[in-house]
Amino acid sequence: MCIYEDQIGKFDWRQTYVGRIKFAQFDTVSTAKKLIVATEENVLAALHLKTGQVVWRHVFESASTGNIQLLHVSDKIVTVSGSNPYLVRGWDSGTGVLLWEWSLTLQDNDNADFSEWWVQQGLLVHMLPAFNSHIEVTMYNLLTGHNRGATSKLPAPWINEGCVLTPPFYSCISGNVGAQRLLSVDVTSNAVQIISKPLFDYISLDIFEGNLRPLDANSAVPGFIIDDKKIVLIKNNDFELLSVNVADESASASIIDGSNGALLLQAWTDKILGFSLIAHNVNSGQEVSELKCSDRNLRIPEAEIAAVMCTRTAKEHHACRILVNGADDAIHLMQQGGRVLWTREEALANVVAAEFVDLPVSETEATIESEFDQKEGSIWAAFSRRLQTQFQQLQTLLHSFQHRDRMVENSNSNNLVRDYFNLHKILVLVTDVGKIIGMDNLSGEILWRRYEPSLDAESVGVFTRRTAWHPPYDAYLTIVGKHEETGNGLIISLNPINGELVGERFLQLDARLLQCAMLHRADEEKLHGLAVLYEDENIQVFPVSSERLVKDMYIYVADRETAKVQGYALKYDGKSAYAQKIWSVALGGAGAAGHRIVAAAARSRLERTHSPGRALADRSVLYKYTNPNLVLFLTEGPDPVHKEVVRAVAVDVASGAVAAATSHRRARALPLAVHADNCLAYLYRSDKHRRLEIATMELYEGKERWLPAGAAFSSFASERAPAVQRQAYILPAAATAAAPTVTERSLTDRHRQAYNLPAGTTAAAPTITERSLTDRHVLLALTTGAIVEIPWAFLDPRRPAMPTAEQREEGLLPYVPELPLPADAVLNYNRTVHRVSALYTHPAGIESTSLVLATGLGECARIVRECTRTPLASSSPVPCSPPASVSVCAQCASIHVPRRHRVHQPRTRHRPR
Amino acid sequence: MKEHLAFITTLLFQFVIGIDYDGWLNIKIQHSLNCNGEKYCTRGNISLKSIRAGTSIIEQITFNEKHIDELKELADMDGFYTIRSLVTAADSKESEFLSSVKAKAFMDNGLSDVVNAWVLPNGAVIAVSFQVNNSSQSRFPRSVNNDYKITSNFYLRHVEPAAVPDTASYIQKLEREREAREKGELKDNRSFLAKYWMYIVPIAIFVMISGSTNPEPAQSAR
Repeated sequence: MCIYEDQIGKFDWRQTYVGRIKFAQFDTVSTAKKLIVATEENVLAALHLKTGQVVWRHVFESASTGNIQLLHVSDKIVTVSGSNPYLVRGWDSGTGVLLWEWSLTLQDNDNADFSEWWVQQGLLVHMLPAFNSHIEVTMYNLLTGHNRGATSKLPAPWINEGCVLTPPFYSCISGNVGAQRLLSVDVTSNAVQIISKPLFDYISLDIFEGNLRPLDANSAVPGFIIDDKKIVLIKNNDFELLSVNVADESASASIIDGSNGALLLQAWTDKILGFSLIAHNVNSGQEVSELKCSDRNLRIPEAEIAAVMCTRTAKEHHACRILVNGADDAIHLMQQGGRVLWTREEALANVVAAEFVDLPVSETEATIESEFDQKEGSIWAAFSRRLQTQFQQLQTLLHSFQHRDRMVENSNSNNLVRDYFNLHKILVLVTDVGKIIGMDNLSGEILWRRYEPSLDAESVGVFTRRTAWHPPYDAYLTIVGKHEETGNGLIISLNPINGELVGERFLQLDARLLQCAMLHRADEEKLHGLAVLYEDENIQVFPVSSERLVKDMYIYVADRETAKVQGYALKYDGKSAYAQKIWSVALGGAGAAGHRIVAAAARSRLERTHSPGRALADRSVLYKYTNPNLVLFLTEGPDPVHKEVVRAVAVDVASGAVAAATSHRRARALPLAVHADNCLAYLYRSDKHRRLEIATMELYEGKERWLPAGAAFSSFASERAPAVQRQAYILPAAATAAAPTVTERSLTDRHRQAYNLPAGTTAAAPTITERSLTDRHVLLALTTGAIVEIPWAFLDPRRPAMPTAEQREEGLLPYVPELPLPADAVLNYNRTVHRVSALYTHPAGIESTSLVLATGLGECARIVRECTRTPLASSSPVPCSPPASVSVCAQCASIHVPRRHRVHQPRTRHRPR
Repeated sequence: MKEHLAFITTLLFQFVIGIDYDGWLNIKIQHSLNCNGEKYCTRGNISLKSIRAGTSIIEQITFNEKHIDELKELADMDGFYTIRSLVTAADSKESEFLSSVKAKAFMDNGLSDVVNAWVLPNGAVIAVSFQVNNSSQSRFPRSVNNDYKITSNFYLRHVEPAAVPDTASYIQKLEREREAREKGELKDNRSFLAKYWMYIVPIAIFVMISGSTNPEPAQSAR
């Protein structure tokens, strides 16, 4: 890996996300206006008001110790995070630097979750309600944590779970049905004053459901909404019913200080009318027309006002910035009148599945392809065809001269064609919240988005059932997930290029699914059928016409919790397809409880095996055991003798035969396993040595081939188990020490005894190239935010402790237990990517190039080029002779030139035919 | 068939009495050929006195015409001959494993198969898999009184403890190398010529060249 300084950002991009917004406030004090947000992902960040980009960001722990309980923005930012003990921190809003910090431990640990926090007049107020009994209120000095006086207890037998806090008032509906009263108390005042009014003053009790919710977005005046209908404010220690009713049951309401009196702002999304926003003057009840907006095209599911800021302009007009949060985790900043200034797709902070999809060829290239496709025909036919196509080309050329302006406009859609090296693809990202996003992999630009609220994306499968390589048919992608409520299967089929639903479209199945798989044979329309296995072991094939293509198909179902794996053969008996259970194994051991599968790694279906073996120094060949059906299962569980054990079992999932198995004592598994060709690698944490280790295995047939060259491998015709080479390496301590931000460092210092360091590695993937000629590398995402690549030569289990002359000639490195993680192996150089959840790799059209996507709190895509190694088994091995940096840079240059001349490339390529 | 089962159970009891704690294993093999309507019926039994020793006693029924006919039927539709194994060990309850071979391959290989049982270090079985013996020379067994013998080879395979990073020997190796380097300076027992030939040869050449060119100007001076 090497790049020059001017190549930064040429082959990679990074987008930073913060997660679903929990709290948001405008920073109006500092000169550069910002939006301060705290999120469900335990991130505190400042967003630029004009662009929406992250100005600074702090990533807290992902466990409950990082949960943000309070965000208060004045001249400084104050956060309360953690869950007993709590940490109160002050931040500089301009730079995000930590100013002060103190911790707070509550005595009553059981009820600590009900705590409420807010800041009032330089004091941090902590309120703990004890339902049906009393309220405990404690005030602390915000800067020091000094407790001003003891905890005060307010007797309040009327409080219950339905109470709401609108600082400093705590309001409840209490009493018997028919005689409910609306009660409210200022918990910070010295003299206890309870406001108590009968509820029927405000709402008809006949239709009352007992629902109380506070106003959103740090309302300027404390108030709440009764039963999604009436808005009641608390003013001068009394309730005040607003003359304006709630516009829609789902409307989110907030009071803001306007130019002439307080304004009531309401926002909601109607299924037909789209997003609506209205504003009323609180005192007069009149509508403020300049803030009103109604947009049919704007779809913000379950819109909620997260923060509002209004300033007065010279002409007494309102200039407002309204931050709207949707159920799809997207945040939109609007100005008055509903114009969206920017949108952030925070759903991308939680990507659960990603797929690279090839783009279709350009129109001109498609015509050339079709011209040369027709092989039969006389010489005259070919000549006329040639004349015809050249006439067409001339026409398009003239056409392009005439409509040059329009071409520029359309360039966006025209650009979605395959480039010469097939580096340009579309990323289809499925997010946890159910949003499906299509993204350009070169620029990171979002091309289309689709929100499916009923999709439970927890264990989602994405299948490219037809690529764009088959014109005139469009690409076809299917997402199989669960229904949010019923848990039944859900199939969404779409065109990955434009995001439009095709084929099965949005299909809800009637039963729960066990497994789904794509048929390996395509039908006449080049579409691969989708087979789903229901819980009652019946299968269904989509489309039904593909049922007859079910042949020699095997699927397996692994139960994560019991570590039992079962295999099914799918068959077609002339009428319908059915599944037959043919094997079962218990990876945890028979009768052993508590064993669970941590990870299962199968070979990528895009991968090819290029060479059947490794050439040794004596000109003999060590043949690889390349079983395409092999899956590596990683299990962990308790053991009576060795505390905890990790087992790695490689199972042929067609026949159920075990190819290799090992067990680690006193270890805990990480859900990270890599499987490519005959190479297996997985990570585990050694409890004995308290370090992260990576174990590698290679499977070999031996010096003689089991099958003749070119013979197809069959899982059912081989009874021999491969020879296994094993080795283990230590990942350096640098990889396990995680201290990327100020906050994490201070916390790990504080809780060294109880706090387990997070796993040093969060994701792993092998690189894939088009023909597998290139050396394989393993990519590891570290908690430090780096993505490092380790050449397989370093992980090779055949590395000898004392290399003989022959082994040296073969190019094996001498064994060193600790893996080197040099800084120049970091793919993302200084662009750290926090909390990487997964790495996805995909081959590009050019050998020695692999496309990498890392998802986490920042998406990062990158084109990786490796030093090429000549194919083995043809002659003696040639090691990776030139220094990696030289060859890589040379390749970068050679790629860049052809790209510029992309337009001319296809013709020169096709002429010689 | 019932007699057969009874025989096996008595066999089992004998084993229970005679076997030490650290590991006997019993695998009941059942298949679904000629089962008189039931899903599975007994094909045989594999028993091991000691897992560590790994010696097994295999007892299996012989196939009759009915078995063969059903197997042929399966083979015609490229079906699977599924075997269920019920494993009992000293300290665990019975557990079930399924495995299948292609009926056609089983027939072609003369009713012979290979049984692999994978055993964990603690004695628990994780998989019992049946695979056909893929030897080309095997012929279909001739029937003896209409009975066909099935031949099974049983292998007990252990889940081995994994490799651990070998730091100790690496450090030793480094130590050795360091020592060798320290001693090496004193103990270079190559000859003088072997050590310094690269200095001697250029000097010698230089001397030879200068020696051959020197006399010429001397002659011309005369």
